[in-house]
Amino acid sequence: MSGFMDVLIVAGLFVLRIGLPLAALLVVGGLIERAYRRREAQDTERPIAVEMPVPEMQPEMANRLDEESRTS
Amino acid sequence: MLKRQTLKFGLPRLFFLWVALLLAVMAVGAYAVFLVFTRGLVVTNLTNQVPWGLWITVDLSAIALSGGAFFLSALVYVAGIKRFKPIARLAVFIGLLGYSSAMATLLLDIGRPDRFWHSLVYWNTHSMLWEVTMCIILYFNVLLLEVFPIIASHKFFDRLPRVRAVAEFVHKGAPVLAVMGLGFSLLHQSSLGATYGVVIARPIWFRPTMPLLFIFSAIAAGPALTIAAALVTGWLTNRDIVPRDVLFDAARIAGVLLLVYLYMRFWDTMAGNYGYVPLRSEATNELTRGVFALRFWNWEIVLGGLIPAVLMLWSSRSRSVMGLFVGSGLAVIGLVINRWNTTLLGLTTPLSVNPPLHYPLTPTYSPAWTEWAVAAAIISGALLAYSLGVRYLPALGATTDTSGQAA
Repeated sequence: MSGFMDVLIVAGLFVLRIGLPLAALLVVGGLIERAYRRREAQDTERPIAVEMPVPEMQPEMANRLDEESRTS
Repeated sequence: MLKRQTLKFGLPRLFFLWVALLLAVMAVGAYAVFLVFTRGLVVTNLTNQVPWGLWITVDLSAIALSGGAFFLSALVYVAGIKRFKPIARLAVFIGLLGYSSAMATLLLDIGRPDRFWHSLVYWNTHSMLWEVTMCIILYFNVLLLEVFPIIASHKFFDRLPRVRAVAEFVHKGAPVLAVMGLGFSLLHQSSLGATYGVVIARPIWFRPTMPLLFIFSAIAAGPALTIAAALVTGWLTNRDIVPRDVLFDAARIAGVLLLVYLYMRFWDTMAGNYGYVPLRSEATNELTRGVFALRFWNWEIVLGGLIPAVLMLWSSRSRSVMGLFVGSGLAVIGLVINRWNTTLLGLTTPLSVNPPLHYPLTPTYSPAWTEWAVAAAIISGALLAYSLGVRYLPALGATTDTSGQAA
């Protein structure tokens, strides 16, 4: 019985002194990792704010492209 | 996801609760300080046999963990690694808080706080503690100068251009301050170890390696605390106050230094068991197989040394934020446990090899509530100052929205 109690006490001490601080670090570390990943994802999903002007096609260019597409 | 509700007077609810909690802890600590000042050290569990306990552990840990300030400043201004500037700035701020905490703890620990000024007037140049005291006071002033431009970045100083001009002048002298800080820090970080190392009556302390161990552990765990603080602040404020690449690079350096320290610590301890050295062998057995064994092997060597070193080196390659935080956090815990083990092992192991004399000469120690309350209050004070700093000082990454409220 005393041997069992000894094992229990050692296990309890181990959980208290090693397990709890380690678990706290892992939980906070996990939360930080998740927050940083979410921020990274938001940064990559954000659309580019600058709109590129689309040049209008000149009539000569349009005619030439038409001809090229017909002959090819 | 953290709720970012804002109270009526413009402060986020979470920040308000955090500050209230810290103030509550500080209030309990203030009562304990009152008891110590009015009744003396009798309200603690410190005795003539164990005069150093929890408070000296807080003091030594605060100084060692502030080691990031001088080390990272030296990397920027002496080694010329300019990209480390943001982390060095944060480390200097943490350093000032660390040294303030250490001095507050010492004020209570010396037993006669009214005589704190004696070392400045009555010089005992043969004492390690006198040298440590002088270096700490001088370095504290260097830190004040280094932090001054950071504080002057607050918008309050917009209306005081002369203060800003002085701050800019001080900032230009940052390289000189970094060199002075490096000198003072190397002196007192090593002398703190030497304070133990010169005590011939305690064979477990009496070794020439103590100054080296104290310096190496400080320059490994100091940056680790700065890294952990930067990560937690980045998480809670939703912005990087130090670029992540810089954190990973600093972690690589800290990891290598931690491995070097670990190698020194391991062999320094194990060499005590090569042959029988009276009292040192008994104390070493107590450390490695006795009541200190759990803390020594688990927290100091494995969880506080080997694993954090590997985690910091691994995370700097794999870019794992979690690995970086857990590694740096474990390194910080490992250092605190090391200072506790170092102090208590020397004071609670036998002073005599005569078996009948073991019992009366082997005292025990566990901190009283007053010691816990004071220690918690001092740590809370540092956390409060840090929280306000990263929230309101633009030089530490605080941002200001259009309404003028700090974000």
